[in-house]
Amino acid sequence: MTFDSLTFALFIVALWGIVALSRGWRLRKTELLIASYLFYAAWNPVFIWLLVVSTVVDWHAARRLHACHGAGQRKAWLLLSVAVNLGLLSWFKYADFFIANYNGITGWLGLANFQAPLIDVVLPIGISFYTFQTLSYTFDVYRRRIDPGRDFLDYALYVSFFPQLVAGPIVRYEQFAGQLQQARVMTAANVETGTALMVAGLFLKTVLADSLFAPVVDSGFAAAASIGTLAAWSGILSFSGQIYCDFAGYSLCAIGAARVFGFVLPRNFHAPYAAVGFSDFWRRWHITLSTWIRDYLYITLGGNRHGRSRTLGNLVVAMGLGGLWHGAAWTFVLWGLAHGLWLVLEHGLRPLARRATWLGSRMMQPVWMAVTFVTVTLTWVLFRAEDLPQAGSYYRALLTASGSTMGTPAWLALAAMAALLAWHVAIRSVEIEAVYARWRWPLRAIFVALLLAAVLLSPGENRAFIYFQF
Amino acid sequence: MSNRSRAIAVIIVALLFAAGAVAAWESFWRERGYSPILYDDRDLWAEHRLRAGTVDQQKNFTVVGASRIQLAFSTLAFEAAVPGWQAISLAINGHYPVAVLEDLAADKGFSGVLLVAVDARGLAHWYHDMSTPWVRHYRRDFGPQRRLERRLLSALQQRLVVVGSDFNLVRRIEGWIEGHPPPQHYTRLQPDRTIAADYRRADVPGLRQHFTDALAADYLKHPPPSPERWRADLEGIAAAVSTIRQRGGQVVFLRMPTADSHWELDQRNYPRELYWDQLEEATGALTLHFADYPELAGLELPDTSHIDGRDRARFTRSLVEILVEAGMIADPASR
Repeated sequence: MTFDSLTFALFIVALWGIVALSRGWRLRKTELLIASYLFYAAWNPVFIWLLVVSTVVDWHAARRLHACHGAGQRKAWLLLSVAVNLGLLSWFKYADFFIANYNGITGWLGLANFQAPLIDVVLPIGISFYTFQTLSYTFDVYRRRIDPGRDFLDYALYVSFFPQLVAGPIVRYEQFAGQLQQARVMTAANVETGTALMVAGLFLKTVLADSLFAPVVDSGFAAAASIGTLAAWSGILSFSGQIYCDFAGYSLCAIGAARVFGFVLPRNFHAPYAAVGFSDFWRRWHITLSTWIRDYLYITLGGNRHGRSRTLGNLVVAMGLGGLWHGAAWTFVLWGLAHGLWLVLEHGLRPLARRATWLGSRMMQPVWMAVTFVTVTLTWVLFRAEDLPQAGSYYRALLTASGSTMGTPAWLALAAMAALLAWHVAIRSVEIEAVYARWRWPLRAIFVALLLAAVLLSPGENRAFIYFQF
Repeated sequence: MSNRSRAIAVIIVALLFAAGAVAAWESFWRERGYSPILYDDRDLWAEHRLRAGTVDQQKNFTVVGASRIQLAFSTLAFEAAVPGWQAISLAINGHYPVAVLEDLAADKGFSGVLLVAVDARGLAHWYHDMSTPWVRHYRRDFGPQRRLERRLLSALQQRLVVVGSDFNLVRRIEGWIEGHPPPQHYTRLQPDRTIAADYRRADVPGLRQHFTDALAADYLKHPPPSPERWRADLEGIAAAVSTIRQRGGQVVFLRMPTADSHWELDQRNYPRELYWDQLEEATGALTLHFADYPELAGLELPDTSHIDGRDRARFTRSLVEILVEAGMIADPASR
C-alpha cells in the first residue's frame, strides 16, 4: 500500500478510528500490529512469511546471544541473524545480479556451457529496509548497547510498524522501545501535525516529483543517446529534484502517519542540497541509512582506528556497499563508490583548509555548497541510468556542447528546482516542524489547505515511490 | 481557543478549502464542455485479466490484440448476440499481444475461446515482448490493494472530470503557458476496456497521415524477417495454442482490416501468401483474414486502421456469425 493511494487514505482513517476508540495500550498495540501486517499483505500476502521469519529469528538470536557468556556462542547467534537476513536479501535482491555477472565472466572466458539461467524472482517490497532494521537490533544487543526486548509483541510491532515498514526511516530499537512501553497519546495536536506532515510529503511526491520533475527526467534519459547539452542539464537537475521530493516526501508521510498515532520517527532528510561538503551531505540525506552504514559497516570495517589509508579505504568500501544496497546493478555500485571517492577527496583537502583558513570562511560557504550540489547532481546520473552505456551517453551529453532547446516543462522544472534549493538554504539550520508549530493556527490552516488542494488537483501522474524498488 | 480546538480547526479548514478547490476546478472544466472519462492503465487491464482465468470457461470469450480490436469489438454486442457468454477485452492500445497469449496459455484456469487479433507483423520477433510489462504487472504487483485502488479510481474517473491526468494542475499550467487546452478525445474508454471512437470529432486527414507515416517509419526500423525466420519464430506461439487447446480451449487468429496506404504498406512488407497464410498450418489454430469476409472487408476505416464506434456492434455481430459458422461458438439460434 502506498501513501499516495485512495486505499491508504481509507486505511489510516479507519485504523485511527479503531485505535482511538479502543481502551488499553496493549490492545492498541495489537491493533497496530495486525494493521501493519495487513498493510504489508495488501501488496502480496505471500511475502508475509519473510517478515515473520526476519522478526522471529532476530528476536530469538538477540535473546540467546544476550544470555550467552562465551564469545564464540555469541558470535554464532549473531552470525545466524546476519546469515538469515542477508541470505533472504541476497536471494531476493541480488541472485540475478550475481548470476548475470557469473554468466558475463563465463561468456568472456568462452565457457558458454557453464551459463546459468536467471531466476527472475519477485523483489519483496521493503525487504532492504526491514532486514537492516532488524539487523541493527541484533548488532546493538551484541555490542551490549541495548538489552533485548522483553515483549515479543512490542518487538514485532517495532519491526513491522506500517509507516516505516516498506521504505523507512530505518528506526533503531532504542528509538522505538521507549515509545512502546508507555501509552502514546493520540491528541488533536498530534493528528494535526501528523496530517500536515503527510500532506507536505504528498505535495513533494505527487506535485513536485511526479508531475513536475519526472516527465522531464524520463524524456531526457529516454533520449540519452541523442539529447543536447541544455536538455541533458535540465534532465539531471530535475532528477535531483525528483529523487529528493520522492524519497523525502515518502519519509515525511511515514513520520506523519506515525505521529497521528502519537509515535515519533527519526528525521530522514534535512536540507541536503544546502550541504557544505560531502560529509555534511550524508548527514542530511537518508540520515537513517547513512548512520546505519556508519555504525554497522564503516565502524565494523575498522572505521578510523587503523590509520589514514585504511580509514579512507573503509569509507570507499562502505559507500560502495551502500550503493549496492540501493540496487543490484553496477550503476548503483559506481554511484556509491563515487560518493566514497568524494568523501576521500574531502578528507584529503582538510589539511589544506586548516592551513588556508579563508577556504573555510563564511564567505566561501556558498561556493562549497554549489560545488557539493553540482557534484552530487552529476553523480545522480549513475543512479538514474538504466545501465552503464546509458550513463556514458548522458555524461557525454552533459559535458560536450551541443545545441538543444528546452520546452515549457523543463523551464518549469528548473524554476521549481531553484525554489527547492533556496528553500534548502533557508531551512539549513532550522527545524521546519518547530517553525510550523510556532505559526498561528489560521496560517497553519492556509498552509495545509493550499498543499492539500495542490495534491488533490495533481492526479494521474502516479509513479511508484523510487525507493520501493530498493 | 484551546490548543485542541485550534488543531481541529486547522484540519477542518484545510479539508473544506481543498474540497472547495476541487469543486471549483471541476465546475470550471465542465463549463468548458469536458465530461468525465475513464483512463486505462495496467491495473485496469489486470482486473480484466483476472476475470479471464476465473469466469465460467465454457462460456468465456476473451479478446487480445491492440487498438484495432479494442476500437472494433463490443462486449455488450457480443453478449447480446451470444446470450450466457461473457466477453473480456484484454487488448492493449499500441501493443501486440503475443506475451498475453503465452500468459493465458500458462494460466491453468483459462480454457475459453481466445480471439487473437493480430497481423503478420505483430507475430514477428520484434514485437514478442511488447505486452510483457502488463503481464508482469498482473503476475507480480496486482495484489488486493491494487484491485481495490483501481475500483475506487474507476468510480471517481467515471464521475469527476478532474480525476483525469489531462487536468493535472502542472499539466494545465504548462498548457496555459503554451496555449494548449486539455485535449477533447475522440476515443472513449468503456468500463469493459473496449474503446468507442467518434471520428466526427477527429482530425481524420491528420490521423490518416499519422498512421501511415508511423507505420512506414516502423517498417524501416523493424524490417520484416524472412518468411523462414518468421515461421520458425511461430514455434512458441504454436506451443501456447496447443496448451490452450489441450485444456479444452480454442484459439482463433484474426487479421483485422486495414485500408488504403496502410494496407499497401502491410502487403508490401508482409505479403499475405508468404506470411499470414502460413499461420494456420504452423499453429493448428483457425485463422481469419478480413479480406476473405466481405462483411469485414466492407467496413469503413476512417483513419485506414480503425473503425468508428457506430460500427462496433455491426463488426461484433459479423464476427459472431463467422465464429459460429467456424464452429468456435455454439449457434445461439440452435438452443
